[in-house]
Amino acid sequence: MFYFKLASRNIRKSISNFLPFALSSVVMFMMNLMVATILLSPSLKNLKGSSSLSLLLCLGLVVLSLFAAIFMVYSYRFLLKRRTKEFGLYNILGLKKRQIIRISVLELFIMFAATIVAGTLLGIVFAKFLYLILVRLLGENYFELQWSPLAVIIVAAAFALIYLLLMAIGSFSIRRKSSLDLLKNANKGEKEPKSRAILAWLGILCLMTGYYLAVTVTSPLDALTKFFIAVLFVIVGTLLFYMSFTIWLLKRQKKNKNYYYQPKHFITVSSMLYRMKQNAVGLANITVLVTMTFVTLATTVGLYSSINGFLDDYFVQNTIINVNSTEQRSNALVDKVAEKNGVPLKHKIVYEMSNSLIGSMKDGTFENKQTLSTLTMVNFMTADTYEQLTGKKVHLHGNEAIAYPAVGRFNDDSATFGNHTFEIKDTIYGISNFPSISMTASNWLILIVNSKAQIQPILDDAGKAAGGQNKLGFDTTISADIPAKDVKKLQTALSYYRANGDRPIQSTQNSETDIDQDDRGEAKTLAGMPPTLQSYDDLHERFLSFAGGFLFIGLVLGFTFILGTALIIYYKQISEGEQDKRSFEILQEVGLSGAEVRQTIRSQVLLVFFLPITVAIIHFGFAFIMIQKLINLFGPTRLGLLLLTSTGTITVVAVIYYLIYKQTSRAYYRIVER
Amino acid sequence: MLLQVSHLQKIFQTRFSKEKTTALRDVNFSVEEGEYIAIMGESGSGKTTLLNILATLEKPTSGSVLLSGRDVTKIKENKLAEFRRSHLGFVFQDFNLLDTLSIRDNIYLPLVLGRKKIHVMEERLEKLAPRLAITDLLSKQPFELSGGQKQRVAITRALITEPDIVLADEPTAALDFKNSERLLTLLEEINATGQTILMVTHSAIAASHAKRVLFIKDGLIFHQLYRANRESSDFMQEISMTMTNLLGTEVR
Ligand SMILES: Nc1ncnc2c1ncn2[C@@H]1O[C@H](COP(=O)(O)OP(=O)(O)OP(=O)(O)O)[C@@H](O)[C@H]1O
Ligand SMILES: [Mg+2]
Repeated sequence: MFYFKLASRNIRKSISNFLPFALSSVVMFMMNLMVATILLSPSLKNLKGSSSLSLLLCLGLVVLSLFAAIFMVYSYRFLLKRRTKEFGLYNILGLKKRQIIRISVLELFIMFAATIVAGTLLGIVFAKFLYLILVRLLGENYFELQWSPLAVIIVAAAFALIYLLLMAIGSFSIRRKSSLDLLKNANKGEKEPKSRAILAWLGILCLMTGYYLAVTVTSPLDALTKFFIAVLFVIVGTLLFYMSFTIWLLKRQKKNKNYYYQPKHFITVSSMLYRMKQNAVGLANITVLVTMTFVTLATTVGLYSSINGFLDDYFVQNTIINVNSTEQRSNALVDKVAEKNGVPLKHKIVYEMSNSLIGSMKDGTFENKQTLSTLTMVNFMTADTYEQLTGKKVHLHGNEAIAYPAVGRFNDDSATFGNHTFEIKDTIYGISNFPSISMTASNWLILIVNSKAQIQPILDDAGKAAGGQNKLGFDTTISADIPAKDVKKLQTALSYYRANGDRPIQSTQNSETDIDQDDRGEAKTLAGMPPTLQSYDDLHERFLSFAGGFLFIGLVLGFTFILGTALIIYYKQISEGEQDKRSFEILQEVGLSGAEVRQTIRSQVLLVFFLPITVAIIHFGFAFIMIQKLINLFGPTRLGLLLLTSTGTITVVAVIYYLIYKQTSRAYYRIVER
Repeated sequence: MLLQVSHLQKIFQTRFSKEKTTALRDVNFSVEEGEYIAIMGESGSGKTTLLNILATLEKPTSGSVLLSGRDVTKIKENKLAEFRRSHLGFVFQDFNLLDTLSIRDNIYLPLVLGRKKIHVMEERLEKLAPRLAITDLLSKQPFELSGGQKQRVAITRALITEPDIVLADEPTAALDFKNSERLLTLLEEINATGQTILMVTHSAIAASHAKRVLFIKDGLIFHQLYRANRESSDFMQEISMTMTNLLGTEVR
């Protein structure tokens, strides 16, 4: 109890030392709690692609916890350094080291408890506050941000581990030092950091690996799996970069006497070098947080604003009807049903295409494998259909084919399916009156071939490989403009029909319940599939609700990251201001004018401002390709638009960052100039 | 005449209270070139205040300070820094070395601020370093040095600008007896080369190394002693006696 009292008295007495540490602890806790809360929110399950999103959020939580660990160790060591003198005094006044360790552990324990209480309370308040603002901002309630005790427990467990680590670090550092060391440690200077070439190279290697992973991503699903690894590489690389590369650079500048011994550079270079070890972690943290903010915001804003683009690419006309039958039969059916119900079909476009083959397409060879990185959906289209759509005549001889890689890339000279090989005569990048995107996450390849007969064996093989029940064949897509009020009517009317490949389309009197029963067993192949109907408005609404959900999550995380960044910068400025205060006093006594002091401060401050944001923008540049692929998980992207929204979000974040910086710099000036 | 101080007055008024403190009432004295002057007085007598005014770190309420005929109290704020680093050298009680700089760079600091050429800095340091016995310390960091070593570095930094006058505020206060003695002898040697020094102290031992001692009390200079050709120990006796008699205080 005595130690407990001593510990809590210590915290209260030197609150100014503890405050920055407590602040970073609580903020880190809140950030983690926010992610965990979103992850456990029931609303998440309602979003399309929620499983991918859950995975991303899980990974995000892991990254953020590691990040919190790094940052907490950094600020704890800072705290410890300031406290060692006090510990030394205890030691000399008769407390054993073991007892001092007990005190420091207890202090940490109190901080831990305070973090959980304050972090949870603030987290709830912050979440509620953000929720209200965002609902107001977006004009719609896309996502229910629900506080859950489980989230608190998970994050608290992670923080318990972090605090255990801190206790170990504290105990170790106290045990290692002699009483005299303890007494002196507080005002002991640091040796100039060594520049370690290996670390610099390792950092660059990590960055390169991360970048390489990001750039070489082949498909959306591939992006999802590589995202996490790339992020870890980049975080480690960033840290090493700041720790070694910047030191190397500063040392080089220092060696160049003509450069170094100029008033402008002299003080900046020497003081940057002096605390680069501390600075490196701080700068790396800021960089990583800013990058995270960029990535989350750009992704979600990009997704949200891509919706209209997706739909425009997908919907050639405002309604798409898909019938699993031949072109003639499907067309006749739809016309008949439409006429009977008095629904006008305007600007009708009809085309026939093979059922989809889904598998791995690698080096021109298609295999029935579910390899994520090369997963591709393949559809065949005859030359006649192509001509009918585009009005362009193509002459294909024998096994020649034209490739249209609508999503992804295809650069090979041939495409092989089992023992059938097509020579690729040409590769095209668009078909008029035909969607340029699909609603699946995989790549999409359309092959234009001479005749149906050529590909039937391939379809038969694929059908067998898939389980034999369903015979693969051709289906028909009919796009038309239909008045919004008639969409439901036509959909219902069509649902009474069953189409099954080459066989005649049958009509059934027992509406939809029948299909459900049929779907369970053999009967389905006999009964066939009802035609499907997708309307622009319907899909638009559905897209908007999930993209809105994403946007909501993105904004919550973005705000949280910005808040975190703000606090780290603030903490950095304040603690450095305290350190620099004496230096600037001395400099002024020796003969640095007030204006020169201000100029020196400004150039240091600017460097610390621009370095993280520049590095973050470079990181983001590489992440961009991944983001684009990730958005493809939910729907394809338009590069131009994504570029635009990304630049927009970066600008907004940069401006906010700048304002934060201005504000905290002012705090710094106030401390230094006092 | 190098320095002429006349009718210097300094009244402090804290912002939050109406109470005024008169630190200096009417200080008059002058310093010839090549002199070594100690200003003595008890705690709170206004020594630091006086020195700060000479150092242009503070403005007097009234009076003037002429250095080589130029009134330093009238120098504009934005010219002060430049004036300080080209005409004055400082030695402080707590050394005031920058932790961020190596010893060499700490010494170079005022020259760098004055935009001197590198070879000029190197030449000057080469001449000074052996005299102050700091040649071996140049590549170290301040925290690796003892107090006496730090003060020698601080003196080197004060001398490297070749100032008109070196101002020292209790330079021995943070040092032990032996180190103090060494430092005081060093200052004497430096003065012997023609460098004018003005030191503020409350220690009779420190003052006894100077050529002339001024006594300050209640913001007034009211007595002075010349060392003439005496040994410093003899001179110290007289200083102690003067302090005891005139100021009514016991000194070390
Ligand atoms: N900034 C200030 N504001 C108000 N009063 C001050 C200020 N600086 C000094 N004083 C007062 O002026 C008087 C002279 O102070 P000064 O620091 O010059 O004394 P000192 O002779 O240097 O003393 P010591 O030997 O203790 O250093 C003291 O009464 C002090 O309280
Ligand atoms: Mg004083």
